[in-house]
Amino acid sequence: MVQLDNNEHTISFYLELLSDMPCWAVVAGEGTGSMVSLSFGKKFLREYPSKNENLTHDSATYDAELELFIQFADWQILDVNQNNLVVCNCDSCNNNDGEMVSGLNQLINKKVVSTMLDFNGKDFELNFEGGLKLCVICQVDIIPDCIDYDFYYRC
Amino acid sequence: MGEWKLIVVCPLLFTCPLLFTANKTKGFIDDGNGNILVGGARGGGSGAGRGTYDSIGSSGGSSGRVTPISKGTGTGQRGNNQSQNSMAKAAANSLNLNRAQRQIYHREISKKGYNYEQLQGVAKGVKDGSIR
Repeated sequence: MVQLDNNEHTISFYLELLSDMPCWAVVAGEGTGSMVSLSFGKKFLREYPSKNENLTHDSATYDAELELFIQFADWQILDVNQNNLVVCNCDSCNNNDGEMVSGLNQLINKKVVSTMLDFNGKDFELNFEGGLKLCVICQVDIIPDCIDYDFYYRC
Repeated sequence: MGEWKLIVVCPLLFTCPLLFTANKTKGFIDDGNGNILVGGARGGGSGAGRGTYDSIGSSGGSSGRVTPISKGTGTGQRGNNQSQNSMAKAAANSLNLNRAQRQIYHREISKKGYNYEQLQGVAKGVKDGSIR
């Protein structure tokens, strides 16, 4: 039985897990601002599939081995092959057919090839195959009583 | 000569403790095992997140500086995105959703463009288990 791991782990622990894991789903869009969740690793069939008809089949049907849920952190996706061109970021239009969703969707089926934890121990980057890079920068010093991001690990 | 001794000794005796105190107030914590941990923002400002302090330089992967966010490159949605963030959070907080429930809640409200009342309805459903 696969269960959500509620143990405390360091960010490094999760970043190391992410290496070589493919991203297979992204959930973001209208109504959830800049929040985004990215699903990585194995897929586990959910007992109760989501009834949200706007989700992809995979997002509605499966839980991820590791899910990164970015809540109040700032983030951006850069294209390393185009001189760090900003593909989209937390300020982008989040219409379901807009810049944010289409940019995030470019991460689907891409593996994380490397990770980098900032010297401050909380901001990080995920480098995906193909040259896209997701940068996550914490903001809770600025916005009190908020969660920057959270990792959901199932094992 | 005596004055020179004072000048040399004072920095060693007094500035080091002062520096240590300054570091602690900026969120650096000594875990008691010789590791300086970086505290603060990550995971959960409210303690609900996972993935806590990391020792400086302890990352198994590489470490460095994350590329700063390029402000102004979005499409001017920042205010709107932030108000959506706040509204979604307020509805979740009003029902005191736990972290597992917040994951379900996010999945259910994404791409729906709900107003606050609708968000609260979903949060209530997640809380009482009718949405899971």
